Amino acid sequence: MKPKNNPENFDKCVCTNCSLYIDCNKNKAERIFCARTKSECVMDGKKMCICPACPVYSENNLSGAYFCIIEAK
Amino acid sequence: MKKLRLLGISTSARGKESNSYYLMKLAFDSLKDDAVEKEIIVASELKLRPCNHHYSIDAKMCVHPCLITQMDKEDEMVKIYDGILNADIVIFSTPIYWGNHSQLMQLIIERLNSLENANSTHHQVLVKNKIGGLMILGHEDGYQHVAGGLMNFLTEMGLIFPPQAYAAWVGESDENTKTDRNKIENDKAIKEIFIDLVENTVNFAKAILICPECGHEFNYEHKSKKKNYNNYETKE
Repeated sequence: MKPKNNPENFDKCVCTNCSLYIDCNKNKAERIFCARTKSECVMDGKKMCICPACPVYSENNLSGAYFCIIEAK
Repeated sequence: MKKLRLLGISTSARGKESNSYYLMKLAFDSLKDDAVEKEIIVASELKLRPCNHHYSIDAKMCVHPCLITQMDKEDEMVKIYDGILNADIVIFSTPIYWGNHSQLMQLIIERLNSLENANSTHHQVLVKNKIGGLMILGHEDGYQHVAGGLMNFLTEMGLIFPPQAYAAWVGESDENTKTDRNKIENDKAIKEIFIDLVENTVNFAKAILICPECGHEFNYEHKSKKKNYNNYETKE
């Protein structure tokens, strides 16, 4: 189940520290993809994702990763 | 009676030119059984991206469908995933290089980790009630080592092996590889080893999976616990 898209999770989100995170995401104010939807930007899936290191990931028992590219279920 | 789906996955970099493909094709063609649907996937003809080893970052990252499959529409590993998941019998063929299976076989094993990990980490049994077999071909030696290594992974992934689950042949211990094909093509005994392997897996599948006298279809599922000790409460 998707995490809640709330201020607490927004503050915990580590997307902005990720090597995939680019100016396009910043300009569109995109982050916390696991709770929202995938990015509208062209993301580089060959870079290494840090989703599993995020508190939102562990607290919500998520699996998989790259939620900026793959829609979270 | 239900038809059995027999899948061969040929993993030589030389594709259809390889001796291992030649023997797999010959053995599959020799099986004349209307109750069996046959298919061979030639791995070298597919675009297969190497595993990114997401498992090693966090086991929960390694899911099925594989993240690479979900992100890269050009990656064709999905043909192997779907082939295995839809098959009743899966036979892999590999050449031996320096005592080990082929690089394509290793790539496929690492990508198939998502099917094995579905059970050991996510508690989903995706590979069950499927019979496995191996065809191993080399010029010098090493087939028992290769068989052991492959069976280790494939049984963890969920395949069931019959007795005598592999066919193997190695040539002379010299540098003359050019005569191997001629020997294989002209030696009835070599061909029979590989034909027998296909017949063995099909007969075992009929006995185990269909088994009309059992009155029901085989359906065995085992959820792995040995790798999940950290998920269980160990304190009294």
